[in-house]
Amino acid sequence: MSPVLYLYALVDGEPSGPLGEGIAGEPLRLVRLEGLTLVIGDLEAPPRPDRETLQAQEAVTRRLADLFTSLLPARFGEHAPDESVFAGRLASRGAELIRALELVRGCVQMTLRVFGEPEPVPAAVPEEGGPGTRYLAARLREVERARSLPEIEPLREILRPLLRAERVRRHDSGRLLGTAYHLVARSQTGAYLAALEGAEARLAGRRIAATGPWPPYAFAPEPAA
Amino acid sequence: MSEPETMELLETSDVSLLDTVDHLLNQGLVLTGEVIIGLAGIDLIYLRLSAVLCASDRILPREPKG
Repeated sequence: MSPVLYLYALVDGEPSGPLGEGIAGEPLRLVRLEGLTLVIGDLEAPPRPDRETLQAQEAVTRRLADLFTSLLPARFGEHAPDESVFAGRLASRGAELIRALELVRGCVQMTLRVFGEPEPVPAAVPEEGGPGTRYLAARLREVERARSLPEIEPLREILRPLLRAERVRRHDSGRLLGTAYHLVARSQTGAYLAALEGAEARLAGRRIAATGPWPPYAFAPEPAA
Repeated sequence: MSEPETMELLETSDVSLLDTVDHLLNQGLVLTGEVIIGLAGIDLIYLRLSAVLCASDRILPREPKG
């Protein structure tokens, strides 16, 4: 294995303290490329995805999130042989990454899992057009459902004033219906949790479990196709 | 199971592991797309994640308190 640059986060602004060490005890450093700032560690080889390493990276990311007002955490395993590889990808995504950094500024992620029975799927209206059109329409409905969680709509009425953004992932496997990731101002996490107290009564027997605050993992832009 | 017991269990390390796996393998910024996790690694991690998901499902009461 060759040494690699290991990406921990994309950040904006200056850190409020020392960057400290990464998952292998390596000193972290800031690398500025294409007008953006990356937090990088130099590793002897890409890390293995075991429990201890994942938890170590989560701990590093949480510490970094406390040092910057705006931070997009990297997914596990993001590495490159040299800075030019990072620079090449940043060059084509600069605008969306700057927008994402602006979105998460001063915010944390709260994670809300919903358990129980799913809402019935509305009956599909017969589509017009040929088989290709009908297939694409069906696919679109599947994609939209995978990103929707109507079961918590009553909670959204309560939470809406506190949410800067929301991402949803539906599971439809077992009793875990889905996960809503909420972007909340760092100063509003107490209000968020207080709003959820007793809110289950609005959910027709469904249960919720909230965790956080976390760095805003779910608010990084989707990988480029 | 009472509500305090449920909340206590939800704060155990297994639930933290669920969040960690979810964050670092399903979320987060991808720049290079150089995936380093072998197929075996993915299988093991998702097997573990599924076990944790089931565990967190089981510790929640099935019926709302009346």
